[in-house]
Amino acid sequence: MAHPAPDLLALIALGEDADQVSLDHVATCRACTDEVHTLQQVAAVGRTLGPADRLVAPHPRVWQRIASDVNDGRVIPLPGAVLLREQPVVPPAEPDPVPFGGLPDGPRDGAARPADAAAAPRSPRSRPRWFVPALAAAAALVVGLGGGFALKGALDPAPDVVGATQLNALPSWSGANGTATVEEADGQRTLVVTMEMPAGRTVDGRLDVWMSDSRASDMLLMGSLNGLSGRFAVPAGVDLAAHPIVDVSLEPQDDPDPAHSDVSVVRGRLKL
Amino acid sequence: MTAAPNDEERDALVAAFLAGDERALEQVYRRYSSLVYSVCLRSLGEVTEAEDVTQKVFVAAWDKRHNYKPERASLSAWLMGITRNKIVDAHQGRARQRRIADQVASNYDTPREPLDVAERLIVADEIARLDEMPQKVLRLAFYEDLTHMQIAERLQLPPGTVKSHIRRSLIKIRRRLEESGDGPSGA
Ligand SMILES: [Zn+2]
Repeated sequence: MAHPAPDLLALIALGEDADQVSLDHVATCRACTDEVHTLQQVAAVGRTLGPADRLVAPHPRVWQRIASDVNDGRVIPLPGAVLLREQPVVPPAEPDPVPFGGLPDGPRDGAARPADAAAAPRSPRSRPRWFVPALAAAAALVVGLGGGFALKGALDPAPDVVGATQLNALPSWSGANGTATVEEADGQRTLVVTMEMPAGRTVDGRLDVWMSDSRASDMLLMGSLNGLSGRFAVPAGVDLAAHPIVDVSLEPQDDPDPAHSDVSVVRGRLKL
Repeated sequence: MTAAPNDEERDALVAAFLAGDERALEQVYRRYSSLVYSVCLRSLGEVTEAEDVTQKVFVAAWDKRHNYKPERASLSAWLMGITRNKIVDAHQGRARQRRIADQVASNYDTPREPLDVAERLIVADEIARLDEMPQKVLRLAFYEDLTHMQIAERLQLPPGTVKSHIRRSLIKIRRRLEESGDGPSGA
């Protein structure tokens, strides 16, 4: 005899009653028994699901670690970063930064300052400005993973990568590259910079890390790299949105001038 | 069994992954990291460790990609296998730490079997992905134990439509489980 309609087999799997002829058939037909059996197993799992049974997207830092593990420190773009750029929550980016070395008689005195002075609050509304995009980045990541299902779970832990960028070489340093990430833990932000220099190129001097606005008119000296990496506390008053450019400069070793040497090696704009 | 474009897409992804294309690793991560991470989280019960193990899974998958035989298992089944091993390692690490610390009683829950966890998460995720009406139908069938006639009445749908929603939804979920290699009918 013909197999019962597939819809009926599904109902039987859910435990609904069926006519005796169909039930007898299923009991003696290998194919129908198998079909009902596997659907029963799906239903059995489905019926016992609880609120804890849901997929949660990992924090973006997990991908960053993987990328740096497999790639010797060269980070491939974060999943979700592209989505964020397509749907900006922050106002559109300002025009590309003027090269630090090529400023038209820009007043550089007073522009560069030691890290301590940078702590002076410059923009009281800094927090909401970059906090929102961080959440948006998490949301974009979840969307990228295919649906809003995991949204809540992804947002549960406070986002602690609040900005990130690749650092690209300036023309005379081709082959150099790096990454800059701003992490936040317990309200303290930390700028993490790692770099690679082109093979065979030695660093004759000190590598200083700066954060600045797009016009390089307000430059904050964050500190010097230790070798090719460093971690720098970002003072509470610093508005990342107003200082999105991360720049690593080469300073002569015994240079008494605290200002930027005009020799930039790598640079990038933080995606907040 | 699944739509051809999906299969082609997956085949292309697998080929690129095996060829060592880092973009493919990113795609694989996008597609499977929620599952891997959630399984780790449920099995280990702790975010930091779940993140560490998730990292290890994808780095190991990348390093050992030449061991992957597409004709033998789906990518997600293979990843689940690695996940399972790494979780076992993590539990053994904990056990070692416990011994070292000379703790007599274990405060840790009995480890959940990773594949059991994966199965539950996949089913939950697949239900959540169903369209609104099929999802309503299935929830009524699963959680309120209504018959298809009762559901039809409740939702003002023809009984035939309800039946068809139920079958299609169950099959969709089963397919996803099979693809993950730990479904009722195995890999
Ligand atoms: Zn039959």
